[in-house]
Formats: sequence, C-alpha cells, structure tokens
Amino acid sequence: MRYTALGSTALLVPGFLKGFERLSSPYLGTIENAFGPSGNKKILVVVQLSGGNDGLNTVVPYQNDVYYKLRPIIGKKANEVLKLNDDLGLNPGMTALKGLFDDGKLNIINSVGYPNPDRSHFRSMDIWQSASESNQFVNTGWVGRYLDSNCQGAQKPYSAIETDGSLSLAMRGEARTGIALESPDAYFAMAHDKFIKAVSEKGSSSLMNRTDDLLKEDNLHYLYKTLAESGSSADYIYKTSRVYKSTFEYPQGEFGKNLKTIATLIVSGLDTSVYYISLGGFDTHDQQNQRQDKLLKDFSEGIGVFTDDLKANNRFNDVLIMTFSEFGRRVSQNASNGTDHGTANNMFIINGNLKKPGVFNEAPDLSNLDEGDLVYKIDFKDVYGEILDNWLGADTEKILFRKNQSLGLI
Amino acid sequence: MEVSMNNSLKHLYLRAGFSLSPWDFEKEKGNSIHAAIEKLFGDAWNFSDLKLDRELHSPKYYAGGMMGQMSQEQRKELTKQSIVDEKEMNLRWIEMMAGENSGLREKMTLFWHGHFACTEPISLYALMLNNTIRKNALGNFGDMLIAVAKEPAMLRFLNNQQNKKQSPNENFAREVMELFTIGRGNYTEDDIKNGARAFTGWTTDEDGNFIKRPFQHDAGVKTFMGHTGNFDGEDIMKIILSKKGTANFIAAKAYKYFVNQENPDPEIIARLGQKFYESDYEISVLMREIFASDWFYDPKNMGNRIKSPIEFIVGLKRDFKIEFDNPEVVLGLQKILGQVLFHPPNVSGWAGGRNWIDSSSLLYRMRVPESIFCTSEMDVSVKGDATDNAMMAEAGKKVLKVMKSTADLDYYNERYRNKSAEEMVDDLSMTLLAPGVQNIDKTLIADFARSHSTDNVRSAIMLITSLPEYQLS
Repeated sequence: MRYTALGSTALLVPGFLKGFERLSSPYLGTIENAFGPSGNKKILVVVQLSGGNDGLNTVVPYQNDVYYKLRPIIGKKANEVLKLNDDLGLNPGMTALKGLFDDGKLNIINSVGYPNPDRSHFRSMDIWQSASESNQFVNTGWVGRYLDSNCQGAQKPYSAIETDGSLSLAMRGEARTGIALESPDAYFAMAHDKFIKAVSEKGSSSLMNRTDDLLKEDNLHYLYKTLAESGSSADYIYKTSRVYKSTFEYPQGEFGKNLKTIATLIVSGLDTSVYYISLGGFDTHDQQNQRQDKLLKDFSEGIGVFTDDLKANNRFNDVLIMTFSEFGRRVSQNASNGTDHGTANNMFIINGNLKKPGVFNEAPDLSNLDEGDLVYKIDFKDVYGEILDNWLGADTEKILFRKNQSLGLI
Repeated sequence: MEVSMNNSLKHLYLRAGFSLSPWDFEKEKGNSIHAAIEKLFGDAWNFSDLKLDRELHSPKYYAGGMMGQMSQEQRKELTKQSIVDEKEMNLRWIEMMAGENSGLREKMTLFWHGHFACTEPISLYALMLNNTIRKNALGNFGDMLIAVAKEPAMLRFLNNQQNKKQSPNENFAREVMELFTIGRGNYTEDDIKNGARAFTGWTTDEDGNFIKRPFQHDAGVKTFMGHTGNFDGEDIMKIILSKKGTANFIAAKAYKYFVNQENPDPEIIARLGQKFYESDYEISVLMREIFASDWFYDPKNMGNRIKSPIEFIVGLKRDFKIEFDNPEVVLGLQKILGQVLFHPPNVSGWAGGRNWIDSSSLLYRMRVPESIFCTSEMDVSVKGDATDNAMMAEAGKKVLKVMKSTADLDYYNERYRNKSAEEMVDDLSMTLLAPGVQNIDKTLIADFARSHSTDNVRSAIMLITSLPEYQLS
C-alpha cells in the first residue's frame, strides 16, 4: 500500500494545524509564577541586518567629496539626507530613527569591525555571532556564552529568545541555548502534543532521579531534560504572552510581526533578558538604492513603533536595542549601481536613557582606505563587552575571553 | 516474530551507515559481527559518482566559451543555474545515502564532507569536490588530501587564487594545517608563511582543471617544519603527513565521530593514531580497527550518540522508503534541523553532538514523523539565505506550507499482520531505538497507537520515531 498525503487518517491531524483544542496542559498548573512586571530588569534586543547593510548609505557622510566621487550615482544627495550633524545624515527613509536621535535615544557608533576582516557572508556572520577572532572557529555564540555564565538574568531556559524557526549560532552556548520561536502560539502548538507531553513526563520521571557518574555524558538524559524545559518554557511563554496585547500598528511583514511579538513579551513581563531578531535582504550588489531605501524604511518604521510601544508602557528605559550587520560594503559603487562586500560598518544603540546619546565617534575616514575598504576603529567585541558589562551585568571576560575596554557608551 | 535484536549489529549499522532496517537484520542475524563488517566493506567498493541527469557546466560555458571576465548577465545565469543544480544534488545525495548497500561509503563521504568543509557557489565545482571525496573516502588519506587541495572548490574557498608570489595569501596553508591535517599547536606561524609560499600559483583554469601558474609560484627555498628545500605544495603536504601528529589528529576525529564524542578515551585514540600512521594512512585500516574492536561495542559507546539531522532524515527515508517529491522539502527539513548538505557552517565543519539539539530543533525532530507518516503537512518557515534576493529575504523567511512526502510501509504491514499494538511497539523499538527501551513505557505507546487511528502499524511507527530515543544512534 502506498500512502499519500491527507488520506484516511483524519484522526491524526496534529496540533500543528488544528490550533489549540486541547488547551488544558499538565504544565499550566505548575508553572512558576515568579514572573510579573519585573521593573528593573535590563533587556537587550539584538537586531541583525543580514546580507551586509551598506553603512555609508545608511549614515551618509553628506559633506564628503570622496563619498560623491566614489558613488556618483548611488550617493545620497546632501539635500535629501536627514541631517544629524555637520558631517552625517540618515538615509531619507529613516524618519523614525531621526526622531529617536533628536530625542537623545540613539547612539551611532561608526567604523565598527574587526582585524583581518572576512568578506564572506557566512564566515563574517560567524565571526560576529561567535565573537571570535577572524582566524578562530568557535562553536558557541556570545549570547549563548552569556547563558552559560549563569549570571543573574541568564539562568532560565527562556532567558534568551530568537524570533525565528531556527536558532542562530549567537544563541548557542556550551551547556545552554536560547529558544527559537516564530510566535508564542506556534511554539506552544509545537510543544503541546499529547503524546510528546506524556513521553516527556514518563521519561523525566525515570531519568531525572538518576545521579550516577555517567549522567553528564548521557545524551538520552540530556534530550529528556531539553524536552521537559521546552515544554515548560512553551507553556510559560504562551501564558505570559496573554498579559499584554499591543494595540500599536506595526509595519506589515515578518520584521514588524516579530517586533510586535517581542514588545508583547517584554511588556507582559516575561523573564527573558535577550531577544534576537533579524531583517534580511541587504546584499545589494545591483540597483542598490531602491532596495536598501525600502529595507531601511521598514527597519526604521518598525523600530519607531516598537519604541513607542515600549514608551507607552514605561519600559523603554529597560530595553536596549543593538543593531549590527555582518559587514559594511565597498566605498565605491560597482558597475551595476550596487556595492560589493566590504568591511567596517556602523552600529546603532537605542535606549530610553542613554548616557551619551548622539554620534559616538568621528565619521569614517574615506581618504584612508585599505584596498577600497573602510578601516575599522572600534572592535565589535568591545561593543558587546560594554553591553554585557554595563547593561546585562555579566562577566565579560568569561564570555568574550577579553577584558571590556570600556568605551564609555552605556 | 523475532524479538531478540542483536544490539551489536544495530550499533554497527547505525554508526557505519544510517540504519539497520528490519530486512537488513533478517539477512544478517545469523552471521558474526566480523562477517557483517566484511559485508559492509565489500559493499563499499561498489559505488558510483553523485551526478544529475544533465551535465553541469563550468564558468567558461556560461561565458560563451570565452576566456576572461563574464558579463553581469552571464554571472547571474551561472548563479541561478547553480542554485537549481545544488538542490538536486542535495536530494540525489540523500537518496544515495539511503541506498540499500551504500551505507558505509556514503557515511564516510559525509564524514569527510564535514572534515574538508567547503561552501562553493558554482555547482560543478561543488559536485567535483564531492566526488573526489567519495572516491577517496575509504582509500588513502594522503591521496585524498592532495586531491582535495587541487579541487577548484577548495582552492577558491580558501582564497588560493589570491596566493601569489608577490602577495601571498596564507588562508589555504593555515586551514590545511589547522583543520585538515595536524591541528593547532603542531606548527608555527613561520610554517604557515613558508607553507603558503609553496602553494603560490596553485589555481585552476576556467574549466576547473588544476594548474600551477609558474610566474605566480615562489620557487625559492623554504624552511617548513624543520625541513629546508625548494618545496612545492605537494612536498609540504608530504612533510605534514610524515608527522605522527597528523595521524593522531585524524584518528581522534574519526573516533569522536564514529565512537564517542562526549567521553573519548585518550589511550584508545593514541593506539588508533599509531595504527593509522603505520598503515601509511589507509582509511579502511583505521575504520576496520574501529568497527572490529571490542571497545566499539562497550555499552558506554552504544546508543549514546546524537544523530545528525542528515542521519535522522536518511534513517527515516531508508527504513520507511520515504519519497520526498520535491528537493525543497528535503532542503527545508535540513534547514530547520540545522544541517544543510554542501553548506557547512564554516571551514571547521559541523560541531556535532549536542550542538544539534536545542529546544526548538528537538521539538521539530519529534514532530517530523507525524508530518511524514500522518498528515504529510508541516508548517515550517526557514531562514532566508544571506544571498536570497531582497523580496524573498524581506519577508525574512521562506515558508514551506506543505512538506509533501510519501512512505511505503508494505514491509511493515506484512511483518505485523495480526500482531497486537504491544507486539509491534516491542519489535519496532528493538530495531529502531539505539539506546534500547528501558525508559519507555510500551503500554503507553501501544495505547496511543490504538487511539490515534485504525492504522495501528502506521501509528506505531510514527510514535516510535517521534521518541527522544530515536534521536540517538
């Protein structure tokens, strides 16, 4: 017999597709109710711009002759940019970010990178996510190692959440990992299967009482432990997400939807310290401007609504947003009115209560290029270090294998 | 019904291949483990290349047969076709892995695919490297190393086209030593500099044939790992192979992959390294030594290895004759589970072990059988590639609404004719679950199987393959 899709087994349609008929969960009764609006808790939101965002058309050096000489067609005109100071202006689509800048809620860090830059998307993303040197291969991510450090705020199975179907390297530690979810509902639906629950409970009760020497190496134990944590996390996240329902209108699309999920979870008081979200499509080798302008507009509008949402709920001071991309792009435009893979780039830090808002350091030096690429001035690991140390209160040295250089940023 | 499963046979088949199907077991159950090992090696000499029905083309073809620069349009065409090719290569390879008698050859190819990790956007070059690895997968490691070092995919991936006498690029020489042969701590930065000089001028023509460009090659005297001479790249690799550290490094990697990653035994690894070195790097000697050793069947080395996503997918496909209608489905599964063929995370390959498991990927794995055996549908959305076009990536994801696949369960329907759910669960867990069944409540599973549907065979299979136990090999 050959069995084809959607045959005779209507009874077998899984929770995946059927929604939540069986809402009563064995976990719901027993979840810790230690959460609640945790007023002082610091939260980090990492925004990854995938594909290599062109930093020079994001924060435009609109007074720089070299910029217009090397980008005769794609250069952003001085009269269009949203001026930040005498040198720099934001891409015209980024009005919401300009608003945040004017309110003193935005830091722009220029020329961020690392020594011996790699121009491969995959490799450079690896370097940024693992916070390794460019000649090192590290299988854990910097947020994952923050979880491993087990410091205050990193101790829960749901201490770090990525809004995606699968988990990025950044979120993987040696002993602990973050959770990837598309939405609290979808994650709950996935974990909430009668059979899986039953197996999890049975397996846990027979395995969890073991204390023998080999336990640490026992992968079956590890799987059951992970499964039990997933189940209780899914229930906790789902239940908590019901506390706050945002009425703000987020931009259409996945990025807006994910920002809304994060705002919902933050305002609902979920005990999570790090959120991770991505926006892709920045690999603009040809006809860059129409694409990048649209992406930056989506990005800026999304962040604008997100921060409004947080402000309205008095949480903006507790939330720090950090943006990055795997690399910036070549200074010169290419033959297709696009740009090729480059090196150093800018990062944004956004928060309701910044110590030194504004443009953090001088504009990139376009007259001193390394084979057509920007030379980095600030190592991205120092930005991570600053955040880990001064925002999340973690032991930076353990996580990044180097001391925090203290940029005086946060 | 056969209920006393031979655990050693299951262990061997899971580690040296992708699964022990019940029909494998019926064939082998009367034989000794040594006879089973010989059969696997015998089958492994009979293999064919990975290929598509159509010819793949080199960049020269896309450039209209002209040498030199491609136009933007030609380059786009090459990229577009390569993406299509690569998806088919992926599906074809999965089919080869799930073949009746190809387990050992393809498992070894997969192992070296992670060792000589490489991402190559031109499909022809990616295919060439894959076939070079397959050909040498059970041959001589030195031969494989030299052949791989001359592959266009590897030379391009590690920037050796930029490695010229006037401006050496050390990436290739560094990774050859750090990741492919001897490992960190066994060479100096000077060795890298001098090694890189020996590889200058190593490149390929536009059809992907290996060439040495004499004008870019540094023919001067180099000092490398204590030897001085007018070395070429091959001399460098031979010097590296003359070091015992290389045999130890490879033996340790094979041990961790095939035997035990969490709790390796340094004494056994040292002995393996010695044996491998004495054999002059014959991979079949190393692998026979592993599979035929008593310690390979030590309970602490059995049923405690986390299957990679590829092993999970191939095992299911092989045991239940699953057909994926569309390469996108196989690719989508690989993406959500975290291992995509031809796309290792970086040049150090997949980290393996517990790195495969997080709270999301584990749940996905446990829900995949349900979608395959029961509904054939699963909502998955997977990360877009960095290089996906902006429209696609703007949404952030590609959503595979329907994962169409079919399973052929004739064999099981026959095997379990007139059997109770308990008997089925018993038999299935014996053949399919590497760690055994001590933690499993068989009555619970049988009850679920009965309540799920009237097709008890299908339900029992779906439930057994959804267990955490099924994630181990």
